Amino acid sequence: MGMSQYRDLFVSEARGHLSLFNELIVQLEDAGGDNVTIDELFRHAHSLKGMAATMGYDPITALAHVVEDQMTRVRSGELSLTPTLADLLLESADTLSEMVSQVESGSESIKEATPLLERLSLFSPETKKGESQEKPDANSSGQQPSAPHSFRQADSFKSIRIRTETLDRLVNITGELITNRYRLVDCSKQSGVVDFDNPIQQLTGLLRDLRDEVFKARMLPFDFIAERFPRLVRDLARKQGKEISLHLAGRDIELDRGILEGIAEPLVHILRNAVDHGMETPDERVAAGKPSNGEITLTVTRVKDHVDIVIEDDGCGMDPGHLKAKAVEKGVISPEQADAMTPQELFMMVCTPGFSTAETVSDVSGRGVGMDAVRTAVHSLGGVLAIQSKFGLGSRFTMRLPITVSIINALLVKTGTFDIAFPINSVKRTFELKSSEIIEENKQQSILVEESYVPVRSLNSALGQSFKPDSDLTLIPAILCEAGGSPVVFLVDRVCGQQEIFVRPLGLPLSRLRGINGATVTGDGRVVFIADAASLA
Amino acid sequence: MNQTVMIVDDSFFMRNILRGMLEEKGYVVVAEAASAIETMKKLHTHKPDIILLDIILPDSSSLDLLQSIIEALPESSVVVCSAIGQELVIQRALELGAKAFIQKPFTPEKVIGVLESLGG
Repeated sequence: MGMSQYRDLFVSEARGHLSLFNELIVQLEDAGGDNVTIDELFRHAHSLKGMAATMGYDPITALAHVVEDQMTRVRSGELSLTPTLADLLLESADTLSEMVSQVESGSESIKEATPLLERLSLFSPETKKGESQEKPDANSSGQQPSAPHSFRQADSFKSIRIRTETLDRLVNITGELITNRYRLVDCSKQSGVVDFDNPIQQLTGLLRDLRDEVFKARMLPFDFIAERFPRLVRDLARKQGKEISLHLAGRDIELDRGILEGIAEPLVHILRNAVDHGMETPDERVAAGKPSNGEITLTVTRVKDHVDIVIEDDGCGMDPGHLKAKAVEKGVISPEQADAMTPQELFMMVCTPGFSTAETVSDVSGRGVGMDAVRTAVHSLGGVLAIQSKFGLGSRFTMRLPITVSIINALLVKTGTFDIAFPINSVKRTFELKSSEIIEENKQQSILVEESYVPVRSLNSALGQSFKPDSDLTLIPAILCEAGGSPVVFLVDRVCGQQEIFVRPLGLPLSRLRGINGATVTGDGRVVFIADAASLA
Repeated sequence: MNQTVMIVDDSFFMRNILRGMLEEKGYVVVAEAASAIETMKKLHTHKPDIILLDIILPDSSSLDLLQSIIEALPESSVVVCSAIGQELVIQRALELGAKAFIQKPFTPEKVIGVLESLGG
């Protein structure tokens, strides 16, 4: 019987074993040896070996066999899991993954990994545990009662694989349907026929269900991208002689696939920065009165219809004074502007293109794409990035993201000739003010909101239109937004209300416009641009 | 009459391969299980003639499971599957009452050869 029909199955199952193997090695290093984890590691190597042997993939079988052997020695206490051994095991997992990829691509033969094989099989620890003379014994699995363990979710015929393009198309069609519903509502209002009300109400309910189902289908747990983070942090830290553990929380919180895709690289960048610039060396940490082992936590929480991703480290933090000096030196801001800036605003300066404060650029965060790319990515997803830092104590990066990307709740406003939509996530509230309430100082306009001064911008002038101030008596509609972690008030001509909109990306050259990062079409056919509050501020 | 088989292995891939090999030779695979609990549940429903038992399972010591299977269905034949290097476990499995063993890698000849040696 031919084995080729089992190839896909082999690839997906092998990948599963390898990714768990990676994760467990890092976990074991962080938490110290516990037998359950070691057994698990052994089992993954063992299963992979058996599978590869059955398929006749000899190089995989051979390497998995040596990995299994070494895990047996770790289990018996003959070897301890030193960082060097962990490195070798992780390298082996990488090589095995490459081999699995070769299988997947259908190549005839798999490249042998003889040098690695030898290094791993000849590995002997510098310090052996004296008493352990017994031979590595493959049968100990029969004697060691393994702890209760929930068995892995086996593949099931209840789920099928579906191309992501198909899901994208479903979202598009759903979006169009929602737009069409608004159009239908408008038509029915104009025609004055009452009989439409009931079917439209039903349509609204059905569309909501459809939207929810389609989006649910696109959701993936955060772990889908976070799985590789512990390994990443571990490898980077080790390369730089730092001791860092990464704690992940909220890994099972689900986000839209598109959003996960969009934030994966930005998160990697922030983590790299945290290891690279945020975290001190063990000696520096001890000298500063901190534990030698640094901690980075990545926490995902769901808050109503958005998700907060917080990356926090207990490293050296950012020095606002240093940032200020750098920004002035680089000519990004004037000394006067610098003095007027809050620490919060100064931290956001690291997101200015070309602004890098690292004294030496290491090979780790080469910073071609820097924090400015991170901020752009978050904004383009309709999210907000905020940075907080305490000099000497650590930094915190917060991404507030919508759960789904294409259909969002937005506040529609009119300004000059434009209709503009603000994602509701970025709007704190709307109100009206008199122009006499606006305080002008150093050409900066601000108003008092809840006992603090908030800068005021006319949306008209922010969009490059002329702004005519009304008489003192008229009330000006205003919206209070969150822009990059600090509040800003936009003056508009009219607030039109809240609506669910289907976001479409802009093509060139419109995508180059500052302050706008998408568009939507309303029920009556008007084009509404979607504002990026942070870049308009 | 065709003999009925139950496959116990935590790997979906392995269960599929074995199923393919067995069905090609006329065996009827009546059940698959990926854990000890699932095994015991399905064992009573299907009462298979032959049970192929992988001896590294995640949620129970394999030999405990072997014993439970033999106690539950003494008339069935249990064949343990293992990798090379597990000779001691195989030895103990045979002492406990397993009828035969198959060492991985599986080939159709090996698997069918062992099953045929059990006799009807």
